[in-house]
Amino acid sequence: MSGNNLVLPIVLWGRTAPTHCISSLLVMDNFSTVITGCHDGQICIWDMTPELEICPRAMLFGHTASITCLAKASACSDKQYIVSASENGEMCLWDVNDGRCIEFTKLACAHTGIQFYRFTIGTEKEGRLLCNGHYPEILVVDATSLEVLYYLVSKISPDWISSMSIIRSHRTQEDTVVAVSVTGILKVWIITSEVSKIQDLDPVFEEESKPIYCQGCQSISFCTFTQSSLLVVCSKYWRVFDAVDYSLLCSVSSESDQAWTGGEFIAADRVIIWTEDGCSYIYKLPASCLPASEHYRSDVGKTKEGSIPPLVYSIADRQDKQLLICPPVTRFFFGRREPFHKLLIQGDSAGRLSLWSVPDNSPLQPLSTAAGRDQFSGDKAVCPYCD
Amino acid sequence: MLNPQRSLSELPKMSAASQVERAVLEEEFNWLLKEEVHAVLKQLQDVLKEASRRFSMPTPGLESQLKQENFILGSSTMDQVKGVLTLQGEALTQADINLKVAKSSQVLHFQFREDKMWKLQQIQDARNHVNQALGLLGSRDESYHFKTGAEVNKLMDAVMLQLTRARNRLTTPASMTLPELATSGLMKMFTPPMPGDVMVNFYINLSKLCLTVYQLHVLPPNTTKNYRPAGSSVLHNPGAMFELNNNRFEVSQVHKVECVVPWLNDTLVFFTISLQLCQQLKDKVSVFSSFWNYRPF
Repeated sequence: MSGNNLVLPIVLWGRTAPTHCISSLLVMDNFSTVITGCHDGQICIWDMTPELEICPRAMLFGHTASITCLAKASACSDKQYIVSASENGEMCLWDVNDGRCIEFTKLACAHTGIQFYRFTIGTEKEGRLLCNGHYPEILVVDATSLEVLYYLVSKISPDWISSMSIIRSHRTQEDTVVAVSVTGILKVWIITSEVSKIQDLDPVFEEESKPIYCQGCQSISFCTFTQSSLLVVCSKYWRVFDAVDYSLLCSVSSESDQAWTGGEFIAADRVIIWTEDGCSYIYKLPASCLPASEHYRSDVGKTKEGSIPPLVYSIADRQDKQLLICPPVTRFFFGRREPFHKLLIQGDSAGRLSLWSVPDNSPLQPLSTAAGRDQFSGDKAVCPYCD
Repeated sequence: MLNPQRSLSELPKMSAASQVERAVLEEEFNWLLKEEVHAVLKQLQDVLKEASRRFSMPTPGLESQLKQENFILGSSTMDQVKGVLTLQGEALTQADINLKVAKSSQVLHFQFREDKMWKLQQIQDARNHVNQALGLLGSRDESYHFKTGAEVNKLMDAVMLQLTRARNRLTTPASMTLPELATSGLMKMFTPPMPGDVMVNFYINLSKLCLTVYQLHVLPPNTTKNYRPAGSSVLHNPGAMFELNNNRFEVSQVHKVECVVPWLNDTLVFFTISLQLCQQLKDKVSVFSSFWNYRPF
């Protein structure tokens, strides 16, 4: 945009909407918006009603390669910002409300994961973005300017980070970043959420480096219910670790050829794990993983793989599923406000979003399915404006 | 195929023939998805597993058990710089450098300090990209049923992206500015300490391990030379200038010596073969998609 003229890009399409082969997924905190990124680089903004019905609202153009990750990027609830990263190192900051691209940068390497970290400087709430990808450290990026501020580096066996999780401490200002490297080493860094005006921007070295022999780690998540365990999902098995001394509490291998692609704690004693072909399974954790149980930590030190814990529910292949050309993306989100939904959401290569509500005791309720292409079709002109 | 001289009576025969042709094509396509794709993927996996093996992936805690290889870097024409570098996996664990100072018979000798090593990020990145490619192929073995050509193409695109990246990491060393080289941790790793007028850099270029040595001289403050700071480069030339800590320097001599690392050469060959296999499979699939899209008349 140059001079005094405002240039509004407009996107038009014919009877069939553009393809949207979903590669990443994000549900905003207020549960009223869902963002999906696709392999062609476009981002779709969907509105979600309180009854959890979804409808696509806008499409954002700007990236030139497939979207690898999406994360929220604003600390205050009045600003709805997200950050997107693509395969060729591009990072964009978007305003979800009007689809504007606020900031753009291009780094040398691709990110495979970004997490928002809320930060306080004095009384101001700021945000930082912790990024991991095809490089051997974790980048701490300013959420407004997308500038790299400093690095979390490893002294011992520095290598690419497969997945990471931020564990916020309720008691102190020191939070923990727990990550697993591609060679299966667990790394722990301490970062502070409150800094003085003069910020220390030297690289931060790891507090701990422990081999946990988890190769091909797909996700790591902290149990916010018990505040004492970590779930690590790898393609061939999932494991629960003690979050204090990182000892192995239980290990479950996959029964068939299914490859696990992620998982989350959905209750103090339950986990949901999903596979590459879009199925999800809810397991009840064995007693050795539950702090409340007398058998807690009873399997620590034993090397044999445990038996498969009881399966509470499973979401299997749907007959009406269209032919998928690549693995779907599955994520789990907790609602932060009434009615505190626990939502399992999946986006597939047909541009379709499927939602399931995970209630506490009774089986899963499939909710709604929305297909972007069907809803976008028709002779509509949509104008998301992006710089 | 549109031949206006063909008589109208031939039209029914032609549509019947094209129907038969279509049926045959469908069968061929099914064969491709069921048999050929898996045969190619198996070949691809075998080649990439060989490539991955060359990188000798360290087991956590057992890094010291990786084999050490020594490489003698020198030039046949000039002997100002000679180096013996020890490569263990993706790190240089020892660098024995002899540097003949210009216009004197003095030979400077440097070595890494005790227990210091210099990681060659290019090798680690290439190794990780190969493993990413293997990961993508891992769940697509004989038992997996491909339903469409688009699925095969998507998988091939993803694998090719990782392999291209792996190859690029080896063929494109990082560009650095001279101040970045001067302040890099590498300068502090030697014993005796590197004098202020010598800088070294290590990198991988294709299958070669390279050592570059820069000899500098300080530019006097009232020099007549036009000061122009040099930008980022893989290899700087004599005459390049930079400023550091209020002193201005000019590169007076540049020496580059290299040595081929045989296993890196192997991996580059494997990358080429794998990329060809992927592209050929994509081409086979596209033969059919062009038929589906073709509409006679």
